[in-house]
Amino acid sequence: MAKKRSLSQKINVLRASVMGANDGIVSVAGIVIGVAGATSNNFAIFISGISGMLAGTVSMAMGEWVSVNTQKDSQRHAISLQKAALSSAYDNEFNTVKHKLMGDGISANLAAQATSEMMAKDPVKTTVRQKYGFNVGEYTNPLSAAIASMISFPTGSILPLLAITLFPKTIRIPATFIAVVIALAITGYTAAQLGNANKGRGMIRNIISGILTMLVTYTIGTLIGS
Amino acid sequence: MVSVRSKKKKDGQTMDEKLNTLRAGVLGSNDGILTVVGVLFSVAVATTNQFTIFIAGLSDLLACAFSMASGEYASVSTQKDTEQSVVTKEKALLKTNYQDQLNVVSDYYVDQGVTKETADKIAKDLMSKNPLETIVNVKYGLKLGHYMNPWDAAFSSLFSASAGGIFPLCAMTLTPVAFQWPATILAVCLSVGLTGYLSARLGNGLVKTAIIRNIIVGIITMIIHYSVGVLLAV
Repeated sequence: MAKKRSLSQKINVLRASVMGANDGIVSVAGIVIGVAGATSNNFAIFISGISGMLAGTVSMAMGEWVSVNTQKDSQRHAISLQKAALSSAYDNEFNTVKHKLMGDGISANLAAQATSEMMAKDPVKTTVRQKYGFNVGEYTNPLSAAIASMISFPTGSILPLLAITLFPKTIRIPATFIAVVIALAITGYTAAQLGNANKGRGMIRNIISGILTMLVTYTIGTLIGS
Repeated sequence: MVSVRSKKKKDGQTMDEKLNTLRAGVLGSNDGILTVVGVLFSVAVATTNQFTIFIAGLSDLLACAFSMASGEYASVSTQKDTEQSVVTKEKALLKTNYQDQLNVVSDYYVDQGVTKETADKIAKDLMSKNPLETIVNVKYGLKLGHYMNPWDAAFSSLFSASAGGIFPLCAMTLTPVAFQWPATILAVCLSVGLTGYLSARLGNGLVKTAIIRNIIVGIITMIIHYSVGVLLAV
């Protein structure tokens, strides 16, 4: 069991980094193509791309930090709520657990029996698990997944950034477009492989959404720029 | 769109899942705010050209919203695919290895503090009623059919990210140039405070802590990007 879990955790981290890279490619490609549609000013394109890359990375880091802490807060809060509820209205809590078990399909007699056994062992753990769906003491710690996507986001975004700045001015927009499509095919395929999903569909889905993003920002960029 | 969504969700989603969807929307808005303000700050420090600032912010808003929406679409679709492959696998196992599956269910209840005897009875009871639902729930924590439509997921994150990003973008580009910095800082603090409040309310968190934490995060983000802009401008 422990081995199985660590393997799935590894896959999660891998998947997070592929998704992070994908996110980096799409976001920064959208920005640079949008800005390039509006202006041919190299400095404007470059600075928008770079700040998009940094902004995405920072907001990803911040968002992850906030969500991990919020989760910890609400778990702590749930535990203290349950402790109070157990001391003031034990029977209510007992019935809640029983009904939850019955909702899972267990017959009334067995549910009552199981509830009294669980509640005798550890009432707080039992009620928290049944009502809030997490195990006391088992904080989910997605830190490694967060770090993985924080590294892969800027890595992925380097591609459109380099493409738009290094290709000659006349072909830079279509060249970036093609580079991004190829990169998205790779990340889409890998993500589907890791997530046990249909690879062809994953790849096409990913390419279509990337193309859509670039088309929208390019169209709006040219409309505003002209 | 609202009516379509509520109709579809009635049979698929529980109250908890709806709250989760809402909270995901709020977090998406938060992400939109922080990303757009990041670009705006760096670019506005590096250049005073209002057009460049506006176009960079707008492109980032769109790119961020679209990449979030497609990521959401992909992850919900992957969930569906994963569930299908799990169901196929477990169906086969139920045929070939029923006794093992029964033990897995029994062990699951023993882990939760039920005696072996009662756990065996529960396992038999459940497995005679809904073998597939039971085993999928016990082994993978999945409730069959409980996912949202991937298009719904995509549209709601597209909407929430754009809704969030619009605050700093408007503050930076619509207020007179003389006030654009304080106006944007104020808009960011207010809007991340609001998303902090909402996410804590939606997910039994501590409201005050969440608001303060979000505002601190917003301020740190602005400081980082201001510094980046200063570096880039040189």
